[in-house]
Amino acid sequence: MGNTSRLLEGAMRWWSARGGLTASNVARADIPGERSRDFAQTLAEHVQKPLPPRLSMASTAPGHRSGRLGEADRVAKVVEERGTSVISGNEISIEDEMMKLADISAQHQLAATTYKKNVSLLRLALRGGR
Amino acid sequence: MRIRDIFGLSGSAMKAQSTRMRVIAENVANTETVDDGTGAPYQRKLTVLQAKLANRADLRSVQVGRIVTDRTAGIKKHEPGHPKADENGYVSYSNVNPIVEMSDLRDADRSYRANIQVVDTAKRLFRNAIELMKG
Repeated sequence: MGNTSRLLEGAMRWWSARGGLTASNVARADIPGERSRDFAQTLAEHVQKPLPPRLSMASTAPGHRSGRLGEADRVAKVVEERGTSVISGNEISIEDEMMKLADISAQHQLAATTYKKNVSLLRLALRGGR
Repeated sequence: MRIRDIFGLSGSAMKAQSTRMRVIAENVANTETVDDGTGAPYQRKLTVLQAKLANRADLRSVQVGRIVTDRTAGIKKHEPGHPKADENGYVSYSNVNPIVEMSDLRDADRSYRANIQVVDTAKRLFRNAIELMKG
């Protein structure tokens, strides 16, 4: 149950970040020489990627926590995509970005709803199925 | 980029697009202007948008970089009775082409609407997160 929650949290964070990239693409759609940016990997590839190696914090007192890396520490690589260029050299297609945005919205909603259902199941288990 | 940052970014892009529309409106209004106050015909203006970056990959806002003047020559009409006619009877008009301006206006309008759509989606993502807190 805990793993599912973490995975869904990661998914929501991923779709929000991708929404930010798409927003920046739309905002740059009329700036000469700009290209569309997106994540290099899909969400599935991203969550399967091992966490980056990092020095762990020393625990010098009983109350200290080790500071393990979480989903938020996975760094997604951003790439520029080639598209059809207009006279100004801008290669961002608003239509493509709008399609991406619709997908992001639906996927984020799906992750949020699943997370909510997951919490409901947890509550149900705590109440002993009542 | 956080969801909240999208509002600022898209808002700045909408502001830049509205400045672009204002400049286009100025151009259209001055299509027939033969004297811009300096004695020369009106020259169309162009808005150059610029990205303001926090770092190489992170866009913070979009702003109007500068407003430049299009120096191409305007049309000349043979109107000997016109007070602005030269010694050969020709009047120099502005270099504004209403068809080009209308096409530019549609482009700015499309970008403006696309940014509204982005704000709408960001609002939806925000609402999804708030819904989680309701339990």
